[in-house]
Amino acid sequence: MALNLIRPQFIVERDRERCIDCRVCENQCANGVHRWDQTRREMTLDTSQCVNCHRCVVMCPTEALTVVATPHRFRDNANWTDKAIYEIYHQAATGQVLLTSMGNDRAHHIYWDHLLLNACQVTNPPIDPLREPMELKTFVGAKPDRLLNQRGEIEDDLPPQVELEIPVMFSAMSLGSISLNVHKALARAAQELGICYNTGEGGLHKDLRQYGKNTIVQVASGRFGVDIDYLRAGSAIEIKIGQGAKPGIGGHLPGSKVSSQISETRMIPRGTDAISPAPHHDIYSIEDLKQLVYSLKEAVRYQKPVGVKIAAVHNVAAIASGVARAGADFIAIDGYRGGTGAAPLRTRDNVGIPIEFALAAVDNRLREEGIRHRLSIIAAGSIRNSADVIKAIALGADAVYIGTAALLAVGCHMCQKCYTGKCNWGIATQDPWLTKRVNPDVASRRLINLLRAWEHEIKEMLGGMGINSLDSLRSNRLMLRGINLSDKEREILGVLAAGE
Amino acid sequence: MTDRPRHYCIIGNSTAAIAAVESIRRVDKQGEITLIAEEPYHTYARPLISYYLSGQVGPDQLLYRPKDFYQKNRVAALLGVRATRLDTGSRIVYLDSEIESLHYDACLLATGSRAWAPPIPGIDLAGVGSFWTLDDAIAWKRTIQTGERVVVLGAGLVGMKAAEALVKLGCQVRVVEAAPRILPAVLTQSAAANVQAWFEQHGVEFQLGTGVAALEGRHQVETVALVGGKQLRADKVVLATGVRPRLELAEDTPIAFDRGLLVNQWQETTVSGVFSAGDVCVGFDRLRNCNQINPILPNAHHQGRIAGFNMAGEERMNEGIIPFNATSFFGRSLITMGFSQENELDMEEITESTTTGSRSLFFQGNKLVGATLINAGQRAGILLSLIRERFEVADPPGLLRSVPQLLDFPDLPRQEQKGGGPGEICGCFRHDL
Amino acid sequence: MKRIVALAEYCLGCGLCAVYCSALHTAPDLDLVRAFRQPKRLAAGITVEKNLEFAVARSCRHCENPYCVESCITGAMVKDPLTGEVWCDVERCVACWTCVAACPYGMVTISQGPHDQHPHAQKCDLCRNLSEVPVCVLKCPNEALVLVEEEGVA
Repeated sequence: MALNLIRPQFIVERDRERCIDCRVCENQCANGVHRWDQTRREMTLDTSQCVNCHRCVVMCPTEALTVVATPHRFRDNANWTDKAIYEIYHQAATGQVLLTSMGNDRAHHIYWDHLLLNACQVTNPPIDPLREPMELKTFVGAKPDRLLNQRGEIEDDLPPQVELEIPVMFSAMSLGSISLNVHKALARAAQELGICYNTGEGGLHKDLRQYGKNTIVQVASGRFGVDIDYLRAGSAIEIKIGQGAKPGIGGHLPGSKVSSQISETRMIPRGTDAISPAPHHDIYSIEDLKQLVYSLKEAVRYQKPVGVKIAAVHNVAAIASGVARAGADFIAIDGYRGGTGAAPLRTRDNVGIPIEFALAAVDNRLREEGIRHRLSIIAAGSIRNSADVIKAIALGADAVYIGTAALLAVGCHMCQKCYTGKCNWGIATQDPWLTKRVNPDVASRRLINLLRAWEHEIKEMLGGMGINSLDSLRSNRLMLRGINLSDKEREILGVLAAGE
Repeated sequence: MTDRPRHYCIIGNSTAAIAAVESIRRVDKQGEITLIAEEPYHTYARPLISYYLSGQVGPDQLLYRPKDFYQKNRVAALLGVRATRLDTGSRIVYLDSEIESLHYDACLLATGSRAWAPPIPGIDLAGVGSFWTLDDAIAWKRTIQTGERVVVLGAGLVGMKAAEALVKLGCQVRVVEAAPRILPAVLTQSAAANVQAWFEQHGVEFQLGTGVAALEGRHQVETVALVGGKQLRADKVVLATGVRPRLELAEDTPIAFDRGLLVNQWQETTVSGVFSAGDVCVGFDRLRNCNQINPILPNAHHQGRIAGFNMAGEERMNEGIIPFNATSFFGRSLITMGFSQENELDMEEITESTTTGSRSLFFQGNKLVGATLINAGQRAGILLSLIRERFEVADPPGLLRSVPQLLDFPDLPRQEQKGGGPGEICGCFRHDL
Repeated sequence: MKRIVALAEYCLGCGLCAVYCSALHTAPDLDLVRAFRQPKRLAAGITVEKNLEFAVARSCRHCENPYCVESCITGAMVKDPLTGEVWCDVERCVACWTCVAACPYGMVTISQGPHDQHPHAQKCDLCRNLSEVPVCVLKCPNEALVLVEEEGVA
């Protein structure tokens, strides 16, 4: 038998003074790290299984546990890092593609953090959001070509819109990659907040039809769960061409995770692998995309916006122009930091471009071509806080999607092991003992708390800039200044340097 | 309804009587209640007399209800008064007191039992007495001295509790029992041997399968002579050889009785207006599907409570109980429920020993009909529920191996309870769990 | 009256409710480490039951006509006429096990705490005199226990 070269990555430390042998850590760890040793009458552990999810640490009633990265290291090597070496060992042992979850975790620049906001001082006073109304309402959908109609009146025959109370929505996360309880929480929170959540490519569960007004239904390459009722159930339809975490490839839900609930919702046989092919096999050109867009519009009688989601890649501006001309009512652009339930490690870490550049480039191009009004832009791919939201809008977004931030609010600890299906927080799993861990009442409350807090912060920052409506911020690069950016980067983003 | 308030006459002062008082008062706040108690004490918990003897509880802890019970419930308590005769035609109770008689609208006979002993020669010697009333316990507490040799006649529950108390008082204790094992009415041979060992560890000696020929001594008892010739030295002899129900008041009346007073499911005797509850009357034994006396405290309370409702005009039916008994000796629990012995009907016994005791379950087919739990009493009430509902148990050996849990029996009917929605009936919002 | 109801859908079977119950009744300042180091610790009044599919934490139902009150040989087990709560007056209890055998839910046990003179019947007392809201409800990590209030004392 060959040696296992993979060493435990984490050490679980137990303070014996504080441990009360309650065994909660044992029954909560889905990876079997903790165990009660009947003979020695104490808790013992197998640290090799630890994924650093912190479930035991958080659940321990006496704070007796800590998880630390192992101090066991290779000799310092800036090129062949520990990570690089272990990846070789894994592949030598298994012959398999390395998988991972959540978004790109590499130490590249985070361009949001290189953008600074304006604040008003003397000539243009700031606005106090507690005293003045602030307009955060956003309409997602195509806008008319002209403000006035032929009779000289304000055009009020508008294409269909989705009305959002705040410019933040919950990103597409499929039922299958995450559990029904999380979907319930997202749906309820979206309803309460007056925004939308996105079904992702796993279909719409029947228990969630009641939240249709706050749902964007996604049509992805596998067409899971897509039938006429599905299309009509939501307030908008999103054709998924790609996602930021894994541009250019499809999705794969292993058969073991296709339970009867998943089977029913996705409309596939139980236990079969759910494979979403890389391309839509009926979209091989931009003209094909236009055909699908209009087929879907016909299906919903032109009463709901139909949009397209793409990953941020090279030439994203040209792609966006094509999408706009294909009749899409909105375009969602997912940057390379976007999250996923499962993706090949190499694709996640090496494919795609940052959303900040993609967003700015698309906004510029569409304005230059005079077609910016034909669709709304939704930015995604690691929106981490309300400042990122403000900056995204200033770079040209109408609204943003949050995925990872939402899951963090629900309890995710970023262990990046979603692909194992053993999410100890009950989020990225279908195991009923684990999915119970998300109580939709609690989770929806946390999501609502998060976005209410962001809402207040957005109002504060807007007020600080002296504006009281998002319309004054949209695409307004003058509200931003760049710091620690190269000239070329500033040029693409369209922002001046701090000091200018 | 009549204009004047009803008058309730309760004859008895123990569990059944008290339960009746409480349920009468739930229905009828106006009616007058007179309680007639032969013993001159505030209601006390009879099973506690052995604890009192050993010193584990003091006199204050003997009270079955707080000191203000009679006053709070507006009961005229005639303590130390004996009812002598019942005129059921005119509805009059005659008393041996200044108040010579009382008229009643409804009367409860809850007179319980008295200690009984076979006619052994020498039974009237000094130092010989029964162990049933508080007065008995008080007398023993006064006369027994540490180190004395005490012989207990009868190894039933009363005798064994007395023996335990005497051990705690530092006496040398011997127990004589006619049956071949201790606690013959409730335990199998092996279970009895188990429990006997606990006593033997505390120095108690047993003479089983032996009768008593005579008690010998001049004024004071000195020897117990067993059938077969053996002699036991004895400074004191405690008689725990059984009880008989107090049926005197029913004699010379139309009230029917055989082993106990006969009552219907509303606890009424064959004479209208006269009810009965507790050890003195028979009740429906759901286990054996017949009427018999169930001389256990829960049954007395159950019957008393139901009698009280019916006396006050609110109809309640008694569906009978499953006999069960719980006690502890030297800190170890002993619980028997339902059938606990072989030879009854067509039962199978399965037993599992634990490190400290054992669990025996008696099955008829897949239905649990009895249990004996020796130091294994956790959640025993669930087993009683299974017996009561004649529940089909899917996995009898599994039931034996572990502490029972309701989740294993989702279809088990849950007991009476007023809750919120249907989910409350079992305490969880999924009411089928 | 108040009652604790369990949401079996969200019960994790973690047992923290029982940990906190036992701890609070042993050390009212809820110092868990000290409570669990005591040689005698009061048994929890809430019990987690598990099968392959579900877990649910059960506690005393504070029944309308409690079997434990009916069977109690000393009168120690009482139903409070005002609040409807069923509780055990420990001073008067002699640990005879009758209530344990009577309760159809199996919710009574015999236990002894560090300050008790003797073992006694122990069951959920809705954290009487210890906490306004029962500690199991407060500490359940998934809000699987709720306190419901109803009219009356039944």
